[in-house]
Formats: sequence, C-alpha cells, structure tokens
Amino acid sequence: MKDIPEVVEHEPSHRRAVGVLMAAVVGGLLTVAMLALPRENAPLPGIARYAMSVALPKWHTTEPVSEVVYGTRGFDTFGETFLLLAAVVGTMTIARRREPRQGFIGEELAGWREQRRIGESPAAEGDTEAEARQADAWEQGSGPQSATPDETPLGAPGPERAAAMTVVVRASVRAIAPVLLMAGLYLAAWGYSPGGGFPAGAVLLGVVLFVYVGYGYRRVERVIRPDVVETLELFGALAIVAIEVLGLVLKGSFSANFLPLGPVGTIRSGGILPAFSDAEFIEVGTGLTLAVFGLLGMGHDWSRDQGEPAERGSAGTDPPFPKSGPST
Amino acid sequence: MFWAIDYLCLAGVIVSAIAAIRIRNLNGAVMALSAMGTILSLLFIVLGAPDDAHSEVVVGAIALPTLYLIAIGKVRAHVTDDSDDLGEVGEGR
Amino acid sequence: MIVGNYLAGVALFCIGLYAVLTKRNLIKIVMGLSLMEASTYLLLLSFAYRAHSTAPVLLNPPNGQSAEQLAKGQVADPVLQNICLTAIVIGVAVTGVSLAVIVRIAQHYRTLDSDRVRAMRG
Repeated sequence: MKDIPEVVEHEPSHRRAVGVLMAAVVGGLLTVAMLALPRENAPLPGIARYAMSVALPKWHTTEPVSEVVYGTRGFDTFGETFLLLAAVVGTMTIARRREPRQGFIGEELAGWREQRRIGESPAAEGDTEAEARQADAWEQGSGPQSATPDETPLGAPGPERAAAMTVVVRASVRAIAPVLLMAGLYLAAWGYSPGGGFPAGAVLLGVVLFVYVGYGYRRVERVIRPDVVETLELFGALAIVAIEVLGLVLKGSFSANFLPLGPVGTIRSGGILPAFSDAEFIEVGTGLTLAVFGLLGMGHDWSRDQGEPAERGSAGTDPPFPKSGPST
Repeated sequence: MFWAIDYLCLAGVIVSAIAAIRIRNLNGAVMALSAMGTILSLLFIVLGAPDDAHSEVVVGAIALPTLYLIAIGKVRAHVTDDSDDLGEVGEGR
Repeated sequence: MIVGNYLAGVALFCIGLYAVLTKRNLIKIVMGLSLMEASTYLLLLSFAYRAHSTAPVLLNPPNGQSAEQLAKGQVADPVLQNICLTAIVIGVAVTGVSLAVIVRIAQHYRTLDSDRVRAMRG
C-alpha cells in the first residue's frame, strides 16, 4: 500500500484544557453581558417603529421586513448580495482547473479525448503519473460508467458507479422538482408575504441538485454551462445596481422607490421591493449553483507549474512532467 | 405553552450542536449540523421571524450540508490500488 | 423568560469556540465557525422578540386587528430581523470559500490535520 498518509478519521484534538478554559471565560463574560440586556417587554426602538409605520402608506406593502430589507436599508442588502458574489467568485477561482474547459465535471475525460483526437499522444508518462491519472479519473467518477444502476451487471465489482440513480429516485425527482421550483418562485415573486430573493435562490439550488443527483451530470450539463450561468449571475448583479442607481438618479437618494406602487395585496405592490428581490433571486440562485458545481468539479491538477523542480521525493506531489513543454 | 416550545427548540439546538462536535464520522457531524439549522429555523418561527425562518431552513437544510458533504467527498478521495476485489474497496467512498 | 434564549445563544457560541480551539480536523473547525454564526442568529432574533407579539407581517393580522393597529401594536422588531437575514447570507458565503480552501489544502498536503499541515508548510 503506498505510504500516502491516511486521511485522519479519528478525533484528533489538541490544547483541550486551554480550549475549555477559554470557552468558559468567554461564556462567563457573555452571560454577565446578556443578563444586563433589555428583556422582551422593552418598547420597540424608534427605527422599528418607523419601519412599521412607513410600510403601508409609503411602500404599499404588508411586509415591513421586506420593506426594511429591500427598501429603507437597501444599501445593506446591496452590499450583502455583492459579498455573496465575491464569495462565489472566490470559490470559483480556488476550484478552477488549469485549462479553461466547457463544463464543471468530467473535464479530465474531455481533455484526454481532445488530445487523442488532435493526435498528439501524451508523452511517455511515468508510471506514477499514469497511476495518478487513473486514480483521479476513478475518483472523479469518469471511469467506466453505466447510465443507471439498473444497467450495471449484477455483482459488478467495486462501488456504485452509475451516473444516474435508480428508477425510484428518478420518478420521485420528476414529481418533486417542479413543486419545489414553484415554491421557490413563489418565495421570490410574492413581495408582500415573508420570504425574499435569498431563500428563493437557495431553493433554486436545491432543485438543480435534485435533478443533478437524480439524473446524472449529462442531463444537467446543457442547462448549467458555466458561461451561461455566469452571465446570468452578473446580469442579476447589474439589475440590482441599475435599480439602486435609478433611485438615485430619478428620486435623489440611493435606494429610493421610483416605480409606481401597485395596490396593497398584489404582486406589484411595493415598487422596487419585488424588483430588487427578483434580481437578488437571479443572482443568488445562479451564484450558489456556480459555487456548488465549481466545488464539485474540483479535481487534483496533475500538470506542473513552470520552473518547478522535476522530481520531488514525497509521494503526494505531482509526478515529473514530460520535457516537451506544458500543453497549456 | 409558548415558552414550552421555545425551550424545547433551544434544547434541541444545543443537543444537536454538541452532537455536531462530538460525532467522529464527518458525515454524521454534517447531519447533526443540518439538524441544528432546521431546529433553529423552527425556533425562528416561534420567535415571530418568518423571513429568517425561510432563509435558515433553506440554508440549514440545502446549502450548508451540500457544501460540507462535497468538501468531505473531495477530501476523502483515496488513491486505491487494486480495484478488482469484490466491493470492499478501501475506505475510499 | 427570554433570558433562556440569550443564555442558550451564549452556550452555542461557547460550543463553537471550543470546537474551533481544540479540534485539529479542518472541517470540524469550519463546523465550529458555523456554530458560532448560528449562535449570532439565535441571539439577534431573541433580541428582536417582544412579549405577546406576532411576526411583523401586516398581511391579514391575527384576532381582528387592522393592519394600522398592528403597525402601532406590539410586534417583533423587523430591523433586527433584516440584520439576521444578512448574517445568514454571509454565513453561507464564508463557509463556501473556507471549504474550497480546505479541499485545496487537503489535496496539497494530503492531510486534514491542522497541526501536521502547519508542520509541513514551507
């Protein structure tokens, strides 16, 4: 067995006494602070009173929290949404492969097939690189793969390698996914009831994961191509910026309401509130999908940077790269 | 009655938080963390915050466990040698 | 009676802090961070709660009050709930990035043990 260190499974912990002492001290201080705080019968603070009283007359919405989130404190939500955008960009940057590819998963196979087609056979691979590539391919699941578990021969060795799941899961996914999608859209669309852009976006992520897990990556691949999803996400971000800046341009203050206010209990009530919420829905939904699938497609990158020493002793590092120059 | 539900949810949150820390198996710990997120969302409903209950149940049940389980899957990928034995491939999957 | 929520929030924070300080497994440390964030959500919303109040939703308010009456009556604090909503979104963002970093660390150093990662660095 190669001397690759076992990924640590048991529960290593260090500095237990210091940890307990530190947690106890912080807990004690916080408890003293909490005991001195106002309890539940304290009067509502002024800003809350203002938010409640201004919700109906000024915004025609029956949901003060949405009015605070997207209207009065729209700048705070604006910053938070762009922080989520920055986090998604960060995750994508950390999880990206060396060569820009089309999809998220199975890029190793695509690259190998492409090199096969171009005819430039990969140069003499050392045994370690061949084994590492095979292991990575096996780990990525792009090894020999049957469409559904029903098609794998009975008693086939090794763990389950089918792309999609059994017919039971596929049937239930076909039944549940539209319902969940409708619930997500309801959360974003109805501006005057609880719920907003962010939970709707995360529900959209749930629906995409449902279909991906149930039907395998091939089925989802056409829908979530990175370039399409990224442009959609940045379109959502642009829409948010437009809504906020238009408020500044038309009405003089950053997130002011410039849209006509619909009657109270309808979908159009609240002016920019549903508009902001839908833009955030687009951005959060696509952003979370990008982050999750970027993390999913994160493979070990076997090719070497320029100028790294060819041979490094320990087992876990990249094998030597053929001298014919990197194929980036 | 209100405080009974409130303290019940609090106990559930604390117990699942301690479980998330003490369970050795990483997947089990992620499930405990997801349970804590869901019970916390129930507590938000009791405290009168429907917006946050929506967000917390979605985050606690969909977003966080997915991220954690993918990370654990990516980290635990073993390089196994003989893949022709019947089924009991190392502890890889 | 809301003091119980405050103390539970403090207890949750201390559990998370204990996990971050003593666990060596990197993923358990991120879980500790998630627990500390969850305690802030709990605390924020316990501050927002008012006695005998309903959710700050004016859509057909309970027991016959009109929307205007409810707006003036005892309601949970919507501003704190907005701040907690922002905290939840940021919690997801931070967890996503830190897990991506941890997978890269594990791929490079082939271990999840933070002590051995510090030892191998360089």
